[in-house]
Amino acid sequence: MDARGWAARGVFVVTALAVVATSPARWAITAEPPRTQVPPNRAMLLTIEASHRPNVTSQRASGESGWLAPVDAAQEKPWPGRAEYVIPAGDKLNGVSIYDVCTNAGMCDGRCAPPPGAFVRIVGVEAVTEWTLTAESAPQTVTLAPEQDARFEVVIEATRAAEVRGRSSGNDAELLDTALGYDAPTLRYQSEDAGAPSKTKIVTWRMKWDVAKEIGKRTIAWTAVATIRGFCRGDGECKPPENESIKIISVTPAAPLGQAPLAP
Amino acid sequence: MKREPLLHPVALAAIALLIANDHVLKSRWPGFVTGKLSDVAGMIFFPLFAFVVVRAAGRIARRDFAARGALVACAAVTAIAFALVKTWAPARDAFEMALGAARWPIGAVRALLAGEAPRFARAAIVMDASDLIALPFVLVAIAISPFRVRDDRVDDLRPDARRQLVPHLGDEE
Repeated sequence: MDARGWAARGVFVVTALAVVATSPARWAITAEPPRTQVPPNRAMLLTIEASHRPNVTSQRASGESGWLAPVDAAQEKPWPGRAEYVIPAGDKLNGVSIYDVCTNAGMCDGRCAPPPGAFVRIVGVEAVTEWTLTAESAPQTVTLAPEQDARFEVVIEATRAAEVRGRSSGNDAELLDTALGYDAPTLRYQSEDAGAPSKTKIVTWRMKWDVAKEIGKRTIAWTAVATIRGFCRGDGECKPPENESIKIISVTPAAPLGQAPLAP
Repeated sequence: MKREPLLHPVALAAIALLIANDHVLKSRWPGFVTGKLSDVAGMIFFPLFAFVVVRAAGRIARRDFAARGALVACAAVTAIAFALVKTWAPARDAFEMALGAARWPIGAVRALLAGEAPRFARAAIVMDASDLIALPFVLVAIAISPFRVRDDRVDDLRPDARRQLVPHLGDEE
């Protein structure tokens, strides 16, 4: 057998091992759910202590789930051992957990115990009142074609980590995608840049699969909505601090994956 | 010369990316990007890997088939299976069991060496429909395939099998 043949067989074996060893088993610890409840019209401030950076997940009334970032984005990396998270009013806490891959790279065969000293616990629950600041873009339009995504870069300037959503209404909203498991109309957004004053978010639109072929191309009207949130302790009036701000700088078409940009 | 799809630089890079991402990057930088990288890498190299298996099976069974067609079929099956595993719980469960079974021999050896009884453990696969953004990368596997012609045949059959299948081939090799 020549060297190329041996190389091919070697790569085959390595590939087989890589496939088998993928998705390594993880250990996980889930925190006890909070026993204290807050009124449904109040947000919930959780104080969490953990040995590893926790995953705090919540579910919106719309059914959409996601990860929460700490109130102070600077607390996320490196993990300081303790941080606060706010569950917005009306949202539901899904869970608080820590996890990591087994140190023996996925071959742990069910004996994947957490390392000594690993823990996560909710040490405080407090009802707080949320404030929000919202900015909206000028009305946008996009012509959607079946099997083709439309992506937009939304550049915002904000004093804290912001959420950006696309909003459409009426019949347009009913046409838009739920294929990715989110409530329509919605979007995916990059969230790994929390804390930067200026951020680019990606808004992705797609028509529902079941209607796209029937209606062909369709021009949809939509608006980008950017929001920052904070909270006030106590029961008094809660307004955004004067030094907080958010604005949408631009909304521009971005190239769909592997395709040329669509006209807005 | 045999054409070895797994030796293409893009395929090698995808395999290296899978290993690095699963065992280093995901734990150091968990997030959206590292959550998708392995899926993208898998979509690129797995159809080629599956093709090599199919080609080997063809050799054993002395069956001739169009190489490019087989590769396209491997890519299609890879994409469909990936989509099912990521979106349909029964498919995810079945894949977890299959992957757990594939891992079992290694785990069993480790357990025996440690003086413990081997146990079966299913793998852990996260169902996440947003992972389907990796699906288009299956086309990369076809694009980098060394089999360009539609009726290109599997080319590493044993010489006797080749003579049997292609009588005019002669003994020049």
